[in-house]
Amino acid sequence: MQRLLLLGMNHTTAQLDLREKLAFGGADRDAALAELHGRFPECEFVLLSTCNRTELYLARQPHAPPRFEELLQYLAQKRGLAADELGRHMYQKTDRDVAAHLFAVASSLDSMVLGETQILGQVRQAYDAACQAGAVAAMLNPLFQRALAVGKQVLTQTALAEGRVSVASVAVDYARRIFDTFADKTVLSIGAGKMAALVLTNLAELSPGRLVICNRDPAKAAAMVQTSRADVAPLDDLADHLAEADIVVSSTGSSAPIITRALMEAVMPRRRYKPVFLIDIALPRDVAPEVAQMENVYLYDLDDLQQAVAATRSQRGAALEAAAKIVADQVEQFIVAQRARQLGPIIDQLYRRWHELAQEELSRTLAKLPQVSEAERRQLEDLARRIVNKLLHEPMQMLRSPEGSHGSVIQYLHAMEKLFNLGPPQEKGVLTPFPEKGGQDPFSGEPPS
Amino acid sequence: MLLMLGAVALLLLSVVLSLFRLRRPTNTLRLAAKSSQYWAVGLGLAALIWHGLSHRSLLPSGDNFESLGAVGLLLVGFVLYVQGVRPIPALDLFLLPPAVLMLLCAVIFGRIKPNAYHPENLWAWMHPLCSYGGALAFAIAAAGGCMYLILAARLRKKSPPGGPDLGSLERLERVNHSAAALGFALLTLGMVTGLMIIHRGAPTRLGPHWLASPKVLLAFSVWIVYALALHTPISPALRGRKSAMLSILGFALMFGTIIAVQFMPGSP
Repeated sequence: MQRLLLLGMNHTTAQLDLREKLAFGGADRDAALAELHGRFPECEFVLLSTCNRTELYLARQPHAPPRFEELLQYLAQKRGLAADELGRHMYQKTDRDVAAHLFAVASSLDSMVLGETQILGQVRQAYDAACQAGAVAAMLNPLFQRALAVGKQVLTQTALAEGRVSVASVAVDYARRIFDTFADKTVLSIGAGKMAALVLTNLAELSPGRLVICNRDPAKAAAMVQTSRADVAPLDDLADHLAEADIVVSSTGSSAPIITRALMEAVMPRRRYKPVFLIDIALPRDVAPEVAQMENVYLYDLDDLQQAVAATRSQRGAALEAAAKIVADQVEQFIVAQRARQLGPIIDQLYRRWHELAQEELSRTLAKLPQVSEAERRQLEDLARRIVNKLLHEPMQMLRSPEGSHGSVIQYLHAMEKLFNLGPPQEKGVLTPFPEKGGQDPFSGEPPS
Repeated sequence: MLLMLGAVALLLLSVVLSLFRLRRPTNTLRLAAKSSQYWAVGLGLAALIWHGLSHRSLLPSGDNFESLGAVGLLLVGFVLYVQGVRPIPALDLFLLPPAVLMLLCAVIFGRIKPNAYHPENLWAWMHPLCSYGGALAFAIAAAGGCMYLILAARLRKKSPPGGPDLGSLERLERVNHSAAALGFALLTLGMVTGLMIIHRGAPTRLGPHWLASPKVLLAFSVWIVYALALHTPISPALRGRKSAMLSILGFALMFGTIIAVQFMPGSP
């Protein structure tokens, strides 16, 4: 019999500096897995570590080490942190809640940015690393395989991965709807403020061919160039650069528009009316609103981008519900499948034992009835078998169904073993008790899920 | 005919499935729509081969059924090609309706006005091939134009990302321009070969006043429209929405030409 445990920390429980300290890189993770598996060879481990979370998944016998305190101590020691301090930022989950949490993580429902697809790959990497370290077996294998399938289902069957949730990322989405390729495009930044840097960082994922920064203060522009490999140009040459630029990010502190309709009307013939995407994130605005009426000019100011973000968020309400339903259904299916796997051997044992008892009693009775013919003997054997089957049928059905039991499966298993004098099943990793939601496992003495 | 009607039904089913995908973009719906398109092409090809064998024509330009059917099926083939190479998810919503229209015209005109065509020389052989090839390219240009206009309108309205994925303006403009250029070249060839047929004194349905016939006037207006649409490298002020609108107008006129041809008086 095995239990599922999870000890973790994520962006909701800890600040970035602490998450950074606890994070495990690829080599660190492999070493930690090897060490943990070497120390507890009967247990299964998966270590998931990303920029937003570090989570240690574990499957072990109910009364066996390691306990949460030991795992916490190990992590704290490994990273040179105080266990008490670390413990305040970590969460512990068991059994059903571990499955529910992992499925939510793989589906990005627990991510900082809902619908991000990176997490699914990170879960896969963590699982692959654990497989290579030989640290997963009959318990964590099905759990992680199911989690990966659930994550894929949520990201492909719901609209959760569609749209963006920040002004900068919305700007990137709009750029993708205007332009097909970016290697031949020029991005012009007018101003070198923090917001411009943020938008440019997002636009960098499109790998534009050239980046030009126009700024009144050349020193500030030069400082930005160090991080973004751009050309610096004086603001006086703005018209020339507008004629070449395809995407323009404007964020100056100017009190009057610096891109007027007259300027754009002069620029458009020079750029042969190629479409231009103007992103005006300055307050007050840098681009005159009437520029938006021009042909092949796509102007988005801060309000437009924020409205798109808000609309995307509201659109996600339905997608979020659909995703949560998929996760809940899959957790239930996983629990039912695990319940069937864990109860199967005990039920088999019980049937065998009762049929043996019935046969013994029948043999004793038949020994006292020498005149019974072969046909009658077979009839009596059938009778005994049918009685045993009928007696056991209803309670076994109730036991198999998740709605039928009011206590934890482990309680039922122990009760059956005690009441009917059954030995524990030998198959490793098959029996996995899942206490009912909100219940407490009285045998392991571990905190409730 | 029945096989071609089956292809039409499958294409309509594919359009319906694609519409459902707008609301719920599942992989199952995508695969179902795609397989319907493949089956439609299969059925349509079977219909063309059957028809060709029974009429002993090697190329699909022997009569209305073959010519229009081939144009419709090539449009579906283009959709399948693009979706296989570099997908534009909403393309089938814009190209399958003209494909269905062409196939329906093939069934209807193939039945009531077969207009069997017996080319006697190279000009007569090239004329329908180039003209229908031009129609095919113009249908693609018009679909690209429609998508361009919708996407440009959505960008102007600043509607949030989401909805049917139409690709990017730049790609749609490229599709529109390339298809229009190809169609224009084919139409020009079609018109030149038509003039050669008339010049050589071969019998046509156009009669002595061929220059004033609806077919010639419409074809010439299509030629003018696309000449304007293709003018963007010289006159870039036409690029973008104006070029897209011209492509749509051009295809509408081209379709009018195809219909006009069916009702021309005189003998083939």
